[in-house]
Amino acid sequence: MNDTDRLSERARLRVEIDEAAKLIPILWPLTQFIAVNPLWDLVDLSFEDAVSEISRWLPVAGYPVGPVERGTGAVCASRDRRGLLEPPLQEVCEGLRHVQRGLNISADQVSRLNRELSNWCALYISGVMEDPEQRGLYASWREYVGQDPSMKRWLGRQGRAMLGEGPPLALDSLGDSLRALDIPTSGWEDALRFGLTALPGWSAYAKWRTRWASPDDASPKLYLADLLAIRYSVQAVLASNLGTPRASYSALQLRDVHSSSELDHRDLSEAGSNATVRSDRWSETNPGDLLRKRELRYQAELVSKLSRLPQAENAQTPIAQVVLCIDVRSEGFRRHLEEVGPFETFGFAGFFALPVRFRRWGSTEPVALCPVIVNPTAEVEERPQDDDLGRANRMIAGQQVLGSTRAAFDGTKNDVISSFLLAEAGGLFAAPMMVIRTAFPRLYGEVRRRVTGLIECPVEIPISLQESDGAMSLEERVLFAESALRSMGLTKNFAPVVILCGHGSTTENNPYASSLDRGACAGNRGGASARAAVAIFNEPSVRAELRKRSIEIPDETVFLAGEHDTALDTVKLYDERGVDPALHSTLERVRRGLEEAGRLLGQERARSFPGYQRSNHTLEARTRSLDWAQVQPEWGLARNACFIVAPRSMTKGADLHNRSFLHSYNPNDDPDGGVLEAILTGPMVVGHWINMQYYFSSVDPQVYSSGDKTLHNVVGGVGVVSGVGGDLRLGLPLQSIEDEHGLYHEPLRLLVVICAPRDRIDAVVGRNPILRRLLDGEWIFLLARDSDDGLWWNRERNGVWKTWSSGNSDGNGECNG
Amino acid sequence: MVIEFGKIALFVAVAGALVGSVSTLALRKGSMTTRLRRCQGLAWLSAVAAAVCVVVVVLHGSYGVALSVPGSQHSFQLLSADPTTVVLLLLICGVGAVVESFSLRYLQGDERAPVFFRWTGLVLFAMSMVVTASTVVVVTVAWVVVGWSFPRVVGYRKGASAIAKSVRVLRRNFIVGDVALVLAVVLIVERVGDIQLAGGLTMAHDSRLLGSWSTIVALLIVIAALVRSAQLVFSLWLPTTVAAPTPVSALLHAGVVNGGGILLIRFGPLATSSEAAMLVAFVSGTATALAAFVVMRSRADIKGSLVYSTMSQMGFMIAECSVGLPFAALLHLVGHGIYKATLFFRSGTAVPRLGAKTVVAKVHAPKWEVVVQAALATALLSGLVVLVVSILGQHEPGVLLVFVVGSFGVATWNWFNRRPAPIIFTVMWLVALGLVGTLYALVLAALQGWTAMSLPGTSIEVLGPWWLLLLAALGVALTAAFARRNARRWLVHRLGAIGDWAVRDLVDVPYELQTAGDGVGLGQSDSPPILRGEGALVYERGSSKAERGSGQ
Repeated sequence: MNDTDRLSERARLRVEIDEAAKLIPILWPLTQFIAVNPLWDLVDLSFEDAVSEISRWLPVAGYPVGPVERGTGAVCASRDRRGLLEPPLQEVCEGLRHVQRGLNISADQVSRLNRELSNWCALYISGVMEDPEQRGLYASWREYVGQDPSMKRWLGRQGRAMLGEGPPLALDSLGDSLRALDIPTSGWEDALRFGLTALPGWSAYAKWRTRWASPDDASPKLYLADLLAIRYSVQAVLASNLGTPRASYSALQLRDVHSSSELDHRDLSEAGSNATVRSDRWSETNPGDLLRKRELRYQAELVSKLSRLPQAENAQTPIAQVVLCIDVRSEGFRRHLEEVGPFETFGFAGFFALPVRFRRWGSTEPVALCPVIVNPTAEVEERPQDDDLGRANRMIAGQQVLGSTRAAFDGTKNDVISSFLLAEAGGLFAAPMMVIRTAFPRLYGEVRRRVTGLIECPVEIPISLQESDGAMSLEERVLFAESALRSMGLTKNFAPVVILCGHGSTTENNPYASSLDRGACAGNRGGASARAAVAIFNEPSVRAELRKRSIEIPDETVFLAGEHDTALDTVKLYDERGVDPALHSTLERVRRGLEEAGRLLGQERARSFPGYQRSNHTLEARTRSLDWAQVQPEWGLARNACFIVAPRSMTKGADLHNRSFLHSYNPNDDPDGGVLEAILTGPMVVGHWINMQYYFSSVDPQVYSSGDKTLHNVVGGVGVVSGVGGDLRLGLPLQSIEDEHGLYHEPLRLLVVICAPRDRIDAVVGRNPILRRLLDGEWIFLLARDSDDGLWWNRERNGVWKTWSSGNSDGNGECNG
Repeated sequence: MVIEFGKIALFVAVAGALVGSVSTLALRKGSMTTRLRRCQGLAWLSAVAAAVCVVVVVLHGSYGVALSVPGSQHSFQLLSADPTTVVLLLLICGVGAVVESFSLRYLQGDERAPVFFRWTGLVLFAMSMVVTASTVVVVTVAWVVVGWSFPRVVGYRKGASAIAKSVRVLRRNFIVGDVALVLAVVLIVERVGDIQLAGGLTMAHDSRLLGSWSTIVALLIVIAALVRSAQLVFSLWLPTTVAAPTPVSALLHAGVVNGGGILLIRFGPLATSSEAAMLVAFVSGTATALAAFVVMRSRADIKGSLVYSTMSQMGFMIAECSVGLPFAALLHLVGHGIYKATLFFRSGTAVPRLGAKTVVAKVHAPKWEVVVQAALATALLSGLVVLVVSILGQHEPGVLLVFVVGSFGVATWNWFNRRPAPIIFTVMWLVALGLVGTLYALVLAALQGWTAMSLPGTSIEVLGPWWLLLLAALGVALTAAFARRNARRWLVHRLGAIGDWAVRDLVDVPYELQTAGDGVGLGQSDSPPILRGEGALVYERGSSKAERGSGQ
């Protein structure tokens, strides 16, 4: 095969791999776990069509079947029996089975191949399959497999040798194998789909590595092409070994399958007609209808709750304005905060619209502080003041000691002579630790904090925005400040203290810890974003510029950064040293208010904790977060249901049960819809991802949930498998969405509520195809309220607005108002 | 008076966990969480009672609990509390309490959790009996009960096929060991009668009475020990237990798998007086220690590597038993059990957080400098340990010093290889390590002195302690091999393949394809494969011959 042919084949394969990879989600490594919409690349289709497309390749139902009300018998009666596929879906995995038959391989062989492939991926990820020159999985595998005894048993000596003799490039090998299997080029895409969906976990990780991680990322080079090349080269050897007629793969057959239920992906107008065809598949009670019914019921509850709110009396001047993340967990905190004192609260995306990378003092890894869909442009770092330099360096040295000790421990463990005494001595010292940690988690946490404090001597180091190469210019900083304040609607009447609060979560022994931190922001704690933003707002030069743009921040007003710990319900304030002494009493009142609000929220949340026994709620929350045995430290974003873009006046006083993302928005200050657009194309999409992750983890736990946490086995520090080995698990663990009474999360699609004139919303949607697709495809639903007349408007699929009132059925099934 | 108190404590310690688990069934008052809390509370009570027994033995020396046969003067010694026994009892009860307490939160929401607690209670009770029973027959009965009830702990959840397979493998292996032990005890009872397990040389006399049968009895006991501690041929049940939830693994690695060592220690000369049996034990222990270590290094998942690490440690323990170092084996099984349980419990921390890697301003010294520094530090620390031990009047077999030196050597080498720049930290680290070593030596010496009389000795030293040097030498060779890429790859391939083979049936690849024909119900792994011919026929009918070919 000559070079030009090779090149064109590689290009073709790349395109087809990308196309095939649309069926699988992206799996971030556990260090930065993010909630994603598993069907994100199919969002061009409507929800229904996307679900049916994916169910041709994965055992996915897409809709909850059966009652999902809490306590009335769960969707899944017990964790061992995932009965979601009860209604027979005749074509489930038809695509998969057709390709399997076409390739003429038995289910046993596919299973065996899946097993071996998972094993190789795991060995590569954990470094056992060595790759010192960083050439990628395929190259290392070619060398590795040549000596693998189990391959010799399965494929024979020559077969195994053939594996190592393929072309050095993964794409070339893939092309050769597909041709060797006599698969016509028209059938390549389906063969690739089969290759990827047979092991969705590893494919999803490979998709992350190929498409999202930067090419020189330090993590192992497990690419999609490598995965497919390995699978098909083994398959080609198997086929040649067995000598069966491989050319039974017929594209013609598959085209028949396609035309009967296929849909032109780009033509949404056909979606309607095909939808009726598809609905024949369901039994009488169409699950899609049931879902819509439930969503409308929630919508009616929400509307009636918000409509019945009393008119806000003229509130007293707030002593502090607190800006919290849009996360659903902040809703309860804001509610209680407003109850306990003269506070005004705002909701803003947790990264505060600051696309930066953050480097902690002494760290070698800058961490992106913004959602993965935003590219960080600048870098922000911690830099100690000159008189603190000694203590700051002492802290680094302390961290190095701890790091070196850990390395020495690992080295001793990995050497056979020393491992024996290490186990003995280690055990003798671990004995009291193990007992105390299990029986008295808080005491253990306290002792550990003190001991590491002694070694590390932690010191708070302020953020510096200047001086580094990638820093933001003054113009950029002013731009950020202005747009942030205008987005929130906080452009006048500043309180003496303004707190920007990020959030994080303290849990122990939890591989999914980063998922509880901020799914939106690459799984990191939010304190750093808040600190960076606050540093900008406190800058005199920035304030001077803002004054020129008619945003007057009084000189006495101080911005402070905080972090809301959602497991403990506490808010920690940063960098309080520089605060003017005149504000100390105000600050004290603020602190007390925050504590009280946290306490009330804890009381409210504690009632929903599984296995909750203590009467002191604060203690319970604290114990749970420090307990290494606790599998359900907090509920995270479970039960999320709506995304409200409105001024606080529209929702203040309503108990939304921690189910709502709340983003502050002032419709009067946004004539051209720019702010609304920024919110809808940024934070709202993130909210949609979180919503879809919880939805699919609840509805299709077999595929999109990582299963029972107690069976999890961490592989290579980046993912988990269940039990002994196998495919990587996708999505959230069952303990995040279920408890002993059954499903805790209610699977609903996101309801977006916007307080803005309809024409503005239409303009924004018109300008942004992604919003159009999400709305027209029924991935999210839109409710608008014009603040003037207080009427509610429901946006239909085709863009038509209809008034909505409770009791209005909209022809989509009944609604119990 | 104190002795009476001690007897009650002993009884509570042994029976506490069982009472707790029975109570979850019997007393139906309260929600399930309350009942499990009560069960767990009783486990803690038994742990406290075990601690009390230790105190009583320290103050008053050994004692026992006897059952008197009604209507006659005979009393039958049931449980004995001597230093060895109460140390082991404290281990079992402590581990049991922690496992149950951990499981109370960890198995939240699991509707089968009460079943776990019930069977765990039985396992703990039976292990406590193995550890404290006074006669060979009672130990054997308890041993068989452990072998019968532990697979039920592993399989407490129904329906998961991987776990069911693991249970089958467990039962198959355990049967072999249990039959061997029962056979051995039948032979003993037939020849000599029931033997009292006691310290010192008293048992040696009884074992000599076995005469020509002593070799066979010893071999059978060794086989039982090898099965329970997952050695060599009988080792492949241990990796399959990873399919079960974490608390099951913690219980296994801390309380059940060290049964082999416990058996060899308690049965003393019955096993150790036979050269053949001790040779078998030594060879299998050494081989397993080294081979399992290699497999551990070839594992990609954390639980898999912990399993093989345990196998290796158990090999070392068996080797120590076989060369006449029962105290060292005792200390090892206690220390290792707690160490491994802790590692299993915290296996969720195997995920590092982003941004946590610190700036490395470390000193990279030339190799010879590192070696010299490490050698000096090692000499200092080892000398300190020897000093402490000899001050307390104990004598350690020289071969163990080899391991002490080896361990300090590796640890200090790793430190000096990349240490933080300020010298003060190195000094403080060495001081801390010295403290650790001193504490360890103190515990070692104190325990050794205390348990000396209660460990069954043997008048015939079959294999001397210096045999362990062979293990040390092979270990050094292994380390050297691992440093070279080709040898490492060869070892990882060959032995890693065994590790993969052991769990081949248990890998849960979720999307097993359904065979053609049925439309529903994915995931049934026992479906027959598509017959090759059949598949081809279907297509040949539908495809056009023109589509065949190279597909270019």
